[in-house]
Amino acid sequence: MNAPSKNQMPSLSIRKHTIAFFSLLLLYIFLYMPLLVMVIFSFNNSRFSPTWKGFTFKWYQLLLENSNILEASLNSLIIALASSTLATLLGSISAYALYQHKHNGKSDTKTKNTILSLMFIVMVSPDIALALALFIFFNLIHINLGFTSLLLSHITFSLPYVITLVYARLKDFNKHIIDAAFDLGATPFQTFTKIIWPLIAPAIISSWFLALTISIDDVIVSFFVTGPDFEILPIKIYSLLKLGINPQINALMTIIFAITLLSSIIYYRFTKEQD
Amino acid sequence: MTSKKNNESRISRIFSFNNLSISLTILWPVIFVLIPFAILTTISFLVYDDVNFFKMQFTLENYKRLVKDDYLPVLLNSLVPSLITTIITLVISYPLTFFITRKFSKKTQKFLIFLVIIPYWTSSLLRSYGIRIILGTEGILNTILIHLKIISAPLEIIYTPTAVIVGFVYLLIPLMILPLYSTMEKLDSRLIEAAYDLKASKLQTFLKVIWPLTLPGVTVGSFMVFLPSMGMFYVADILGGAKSILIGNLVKGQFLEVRNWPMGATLNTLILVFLLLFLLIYKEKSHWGHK
Repeated sequence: MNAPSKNQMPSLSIRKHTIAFFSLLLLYIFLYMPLLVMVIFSFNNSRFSPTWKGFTFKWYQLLLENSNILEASLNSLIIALASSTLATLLGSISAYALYQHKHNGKSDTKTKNTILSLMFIVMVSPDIALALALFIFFNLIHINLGFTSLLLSHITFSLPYVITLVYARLKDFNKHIIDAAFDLGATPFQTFTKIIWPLIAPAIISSWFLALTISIDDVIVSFFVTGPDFEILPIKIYSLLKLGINPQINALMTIIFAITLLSSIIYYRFTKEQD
Repeated sequence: MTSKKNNESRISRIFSFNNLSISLTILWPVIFVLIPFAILTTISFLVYDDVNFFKMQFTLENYKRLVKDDYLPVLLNSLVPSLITTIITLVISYPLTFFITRKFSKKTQKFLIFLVIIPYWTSSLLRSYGIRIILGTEGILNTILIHLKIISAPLEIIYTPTAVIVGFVYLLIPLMILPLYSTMEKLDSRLIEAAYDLKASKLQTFLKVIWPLTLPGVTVGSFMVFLPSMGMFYVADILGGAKSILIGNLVKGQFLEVRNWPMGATLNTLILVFLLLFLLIYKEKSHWGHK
């Protein structure tokens, strides 16, 4: 009760409020308008017209008959599932190791901070720099650009998100629980599966979804590290977009948006559980 | 004594498992990020070779070309859309995010921020196309404006730098809102009230209290928008046509079309300089992250 006026900002008058609400509404309209337009147009029975010419499913039909796009979608999905699963697995183990890490029996904050900084650098590195670096790297060590290079690259940019999310979760809970497990004779493996796993599962699942969405959304890195043998969706879309207007892209976008929406909601549910 | 011994055996028990995973944690970004970055930067100092991409021979020629040739104006021009985008996103996001954190319950705030993230997670490539549908010469915006008799001839926005900036603002605004939100959320309203109680004016309160406390979010947000925008070549291709060139497009051309790796790597160094600048500022104010 120390701040009864906490909700009442003196600087905001009623009139300013209306403007603020209206601006906020405009922001959300701006954010969702292009998505909405594409969803609506995916059902529009006209190739070029920006006006409504009747409802149709034909763009979806054409999309499903387009074996090129289907193959690229399947490849994208394989990469996304494989990279997010491996990154989550590797990242969770790493986060646990980081959390447990001691040097000569003492907590080793220096190593921990170095590793976390390294993760931060990877996260904030512009995609283009990472893309070029990996492109050159794979070329020099003679890894053919395709499935393997794509998978390794996607794990690389997803891993820091997983480690950071899971580590943050681990850091928050009582360390004595783990000590207690060890005192009772549990092996590190048992401690992990019986104590730690149930506690960090929400963080792990949400980071898996995050890794999945990052992988599907990536354009720049994929563009550089994939080859003609393994075409994935963003590359396919990019070459289609250069050819001009194609309502099949709207249909594809609608499907992808539906998937993103679903996985975002699941992510949101799990992160809410964490709070 | 016994407890210490106990501790040590416990440590040795988890030692191998732990050390293996700790090394892996370090090794992955070292192998796939730091070493490739080092190679990339090294190549910028090597001589171009049309067979093997580069020769093991030190040179500063690539950097000299950057300044000497007509590269410099192109390069500086390529930064303009990114810079304008950063300013616009900040000007839009700052008051709106502040409004969100002051006027809504924690639960509603979380939801409003979540609504900002959803589009960000949807394919940016496809969303650029959405912008093209709206801004096109016969696009929705022009159709509506002509219908409402606001304009008589369609606006030529598409395939101009303006279209690229609209696209950037649209794609990157969540990256400004998120860091701003995380600093503004922690900003204690009582500090602002105290400033008013001490007879500070609105402007003074903003300049002396709100702005300094939200500066970390402003800095992180600005770099989070500016850094990726330099490389988003596909946005320039889809919305800017041939008229708009970003560093990303130049770099892509050098690597995939001209196949001049050293020159491409040199152009990329400019991006890395901005990244380094950000990391230095961030490290300097490292207490920001721990607040």
